[in-house]
Amino acid sequence: MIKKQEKKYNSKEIYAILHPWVRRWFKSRFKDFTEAQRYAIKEIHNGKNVLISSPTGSGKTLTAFLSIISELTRLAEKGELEDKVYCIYVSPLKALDNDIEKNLDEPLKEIQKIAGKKLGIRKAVRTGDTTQSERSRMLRKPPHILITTPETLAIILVAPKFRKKLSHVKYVIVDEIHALADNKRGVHLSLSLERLQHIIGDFIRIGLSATVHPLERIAKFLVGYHEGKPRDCLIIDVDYRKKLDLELICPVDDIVAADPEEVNNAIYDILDELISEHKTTLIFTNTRSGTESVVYNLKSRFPDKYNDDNIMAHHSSLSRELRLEAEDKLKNGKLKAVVSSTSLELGIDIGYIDLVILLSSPKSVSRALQRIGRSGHRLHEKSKGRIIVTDRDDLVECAMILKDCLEGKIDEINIPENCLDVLAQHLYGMAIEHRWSLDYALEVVKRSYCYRNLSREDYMKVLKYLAGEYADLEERYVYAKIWLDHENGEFGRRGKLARMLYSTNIGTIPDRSSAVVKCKGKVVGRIDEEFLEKLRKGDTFVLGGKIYRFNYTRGMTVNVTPASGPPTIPSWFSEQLPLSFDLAVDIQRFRDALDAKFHYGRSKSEIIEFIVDYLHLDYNAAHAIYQYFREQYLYAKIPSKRRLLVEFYKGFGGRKFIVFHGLFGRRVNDALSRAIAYIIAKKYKRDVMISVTDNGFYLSSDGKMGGLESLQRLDPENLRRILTWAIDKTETLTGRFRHCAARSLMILRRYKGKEKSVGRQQVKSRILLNFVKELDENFPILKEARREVLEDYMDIKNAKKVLKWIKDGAMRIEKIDTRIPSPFAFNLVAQGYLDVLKYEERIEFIKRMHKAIIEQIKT
Amino acid sequence: MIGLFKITKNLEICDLALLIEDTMIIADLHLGYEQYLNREGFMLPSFQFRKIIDRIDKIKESSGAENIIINGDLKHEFGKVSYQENRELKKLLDYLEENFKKITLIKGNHDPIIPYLSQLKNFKIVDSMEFQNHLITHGHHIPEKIKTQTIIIGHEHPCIGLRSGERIEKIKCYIKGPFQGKKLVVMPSFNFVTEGSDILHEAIISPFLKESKLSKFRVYAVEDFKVFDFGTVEDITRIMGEQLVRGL
Repeated sequence: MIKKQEKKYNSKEIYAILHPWVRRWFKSRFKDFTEAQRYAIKEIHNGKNVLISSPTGSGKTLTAFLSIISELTRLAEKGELEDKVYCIYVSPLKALDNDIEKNLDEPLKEIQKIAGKKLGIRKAVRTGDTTQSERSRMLRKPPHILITTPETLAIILVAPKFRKKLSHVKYVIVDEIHALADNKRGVHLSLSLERLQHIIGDFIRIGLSATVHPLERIAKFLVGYHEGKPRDCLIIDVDYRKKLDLELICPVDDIVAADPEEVNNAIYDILDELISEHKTTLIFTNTRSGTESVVYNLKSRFPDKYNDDNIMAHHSSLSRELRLEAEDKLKNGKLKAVVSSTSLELGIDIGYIDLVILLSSPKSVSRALQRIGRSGHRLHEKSKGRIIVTDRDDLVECAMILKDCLEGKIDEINIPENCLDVLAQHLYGMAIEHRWSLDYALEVVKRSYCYRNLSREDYMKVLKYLAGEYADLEERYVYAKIWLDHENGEFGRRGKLARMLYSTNIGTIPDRSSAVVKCKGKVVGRIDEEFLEKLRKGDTFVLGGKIYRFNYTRGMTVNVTPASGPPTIPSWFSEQLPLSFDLAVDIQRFRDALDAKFHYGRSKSEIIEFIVDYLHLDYNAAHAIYQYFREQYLYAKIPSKRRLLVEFYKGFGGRKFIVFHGLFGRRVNDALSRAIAYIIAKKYKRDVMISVTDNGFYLSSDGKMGGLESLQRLDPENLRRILTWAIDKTETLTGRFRHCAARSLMILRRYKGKEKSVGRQQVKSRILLNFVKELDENFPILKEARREVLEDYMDIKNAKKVLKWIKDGAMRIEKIDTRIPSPFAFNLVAQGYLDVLKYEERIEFIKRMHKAIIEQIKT
Repeated sequence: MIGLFKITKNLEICDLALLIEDTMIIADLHLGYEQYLNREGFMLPSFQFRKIIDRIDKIKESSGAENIIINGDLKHEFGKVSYQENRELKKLLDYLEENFKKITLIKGNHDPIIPYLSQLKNFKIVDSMEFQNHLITHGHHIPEKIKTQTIIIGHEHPCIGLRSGERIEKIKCYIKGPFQGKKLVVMPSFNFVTEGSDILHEAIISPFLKESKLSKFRVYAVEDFKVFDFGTVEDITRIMGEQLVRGL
């Protein structure tokens, strides 16, 4: 059973179970136990699985390790400590692994000192960076505490000698589990844990998580299932709220009326002021380019205060050296400020931060908490966070985040399920271990939370794929990774290279590469190779908020010049974080409330009072929101939870636009927009352009698109079917398929000593996709690519929910025609990222292009 | 009935083949490309062989061709023969022998070694050939003395990338234009793995084209037996508001 831990143990009870030497060390180091420790330590000692969610600075890691260290000390004292691994610690980051290793140094040394004799408790990090000689040393003298990553753990499971050292594993700690659970790395880990369980039997599972919702789901993910029921787990949930010092800052008095330049100036003045008042400030922006721009602006605006020595950027596109330099300088207290996108969200050691600034909305409540939690690491200290808003939509969003943070409303986490590509990788790994009965292997797989509902049909399809049954009999031997004996119901490995092939191609993180963009010799940013493929000389595109003209590529450098006018090539890939659905719906509720106030003719002061009260805002900010909503109310209508506003207008040259004011977050809008575009494109036999944002989407076309009937044809039942057709006609599927093909080892990224560039992978994976589509519409890897697009990249589940609201009449569709876009539509049209739904048949397209070009030649 | 498209007095386009009377010319089949992909780590089984045979059948049927010339690059691997090539070459040659009176293979840069050839009766292999006042040669190098008025090459795999709004489609094409006072015709590739290389945007590889003014070449796009005369490269690029990457 999954249940919340109610019992809090007192110090005496906890000390009683600790080994005397460990007790002495703890007392010499800490005054007392933290709340999380009171809940957890004794339960871990009693052999219970626990999931610990508590704010930073609550000694979370020590909570997990204390019982374990005590147990190891006990064995060491009795001389019973064998050359085996007793505890596996897994985290998503190598950097975090290294930190943990260092942090264990002190207690182990001190306890040994107290003991007055050599205890010999060993710990070691093993990741992709570990050298061959370090690995052989580990084989001779295995660490008692093995610190690793999900990928390396999966490799260890098939390492013929080292896996034998795992026979004594009693504890597995999964740190930052929330950062793994919502993506395929977590899915991968969940299967590794079940495979480990199959090898060695039960062990104690300890999960450490940031504040996410619902914790029950994370707990099930951690402990897995046994005979169709979740294994037992205790949830330790320490309330973060009393440790939060959170405020929202609106940079100017009236953010609706202020021009962008004024807002920008004010933001930098505030940033400077806040940085000056604190020792070390961590600033989060939402994009890598935003990160660079903040560092650049602070340095150029305040040259006598900020320079390369005291302010740095930290994001995933920077080189490892630069990131390490930033981390080291932070630890040594040398930086006044560091600016990051997502890379510093996780718990790597960056020393003491006394203020976190969120520049613009972090798009979800849990992300806001996670980021703010990076400050105030000292025990019993509050985390201090300031959110600076950048425009009017941002103001509403940030205010709602603040409200939800304070009221403890956390958005829901999505854990991917039935990922067939990850399954393929693991089944291959399992085959390498030994031969399996089909029934038992399925049982092991279904113990993972992520596969508890896996159908036998899908399972068999993946096995058949691995057995090369998609190729002709005579050449099957090239493609078969396993043998599959249908008659006797068994499978096993095939080929001598299997283990090597598996170990070098393991993992779920796709290879990405990007090209540097240079303008007049200066680097202005990076673009994905996939995007680069589409650029033609003379194209203009947006990068970091500016428009550039593409000239040429040399190697992986792109040469551009500044340009103006609308971009000819939309940005197909958005780096922006998607707004969480729950938060979006909360904003819609607020819109409802305001709409009603306007409708019933409430006075200005009454409405402003309401906003101040509802969103915990100051009067200036509330006034700005009042103005923004009033304009929308007077000019058009306020879209809300009860009213889906659909706005029709004609753009330049008579191009038709339909704007859907659906504030559902981008993942839901991605799904809805493509489904509606498909219905229109099919009916009128033409391509439809799609642009999506968090606050809604629009469709546009040169020709007829009809009215509301396309939206009305959509319902919760037919959405998946229509979307599956729709994504086949957009660019989204191709890229995802490449990743899935690599995960399921249909594309071997490292093969026969060669590593492939991403660019080469793309052209060829397109060939592979075309082949697979012709072969079998339900080929497991194609099916998985579609699932990933629909469920992970988009959010079909909540899109269905929206359609249900519409069907049940809880949300009414209202149509309006406007001559220029309404205030709410404005941001939406300006900021969307685009895709096109290709419906026109290829031959029709060629005929049309031919006609157009020939006509032009004649004139 | 599928129509033929005349591009010179005695040269007609029939889908991916050129016709001179009752002889059909195809180029760049690249058999064994899948196994080459396998070596690169793309586990793709062979799938284009069947398509190639079907297409030859269909062209033969609609044109009534009796003889066939393969203008180079029958197979993909350089300097060796892969397992897949071996198997498919044998099948292809058997098929050709059964269905054509005369078979000529012109050597390309990808096929210095070709097995099974000695088994064939109505067969010859040459570096290039003169046929009805046409020089047919693969195109990876320029022969010394060219006596004919028209030259037919492959090697380039030409296609054009057309773009409308956000959509780009590549279409296989023939291009025809002046080369040293003669007429040069470049054929599209006879394989279904890719459309080829976009002559409007990508680098040219054939020495013939490097010595020519590409902008003056006329483009005939082909898609499923339909032929579209797109005018000259110059016209297309001007109209599509783009310029060639190479300064022409």
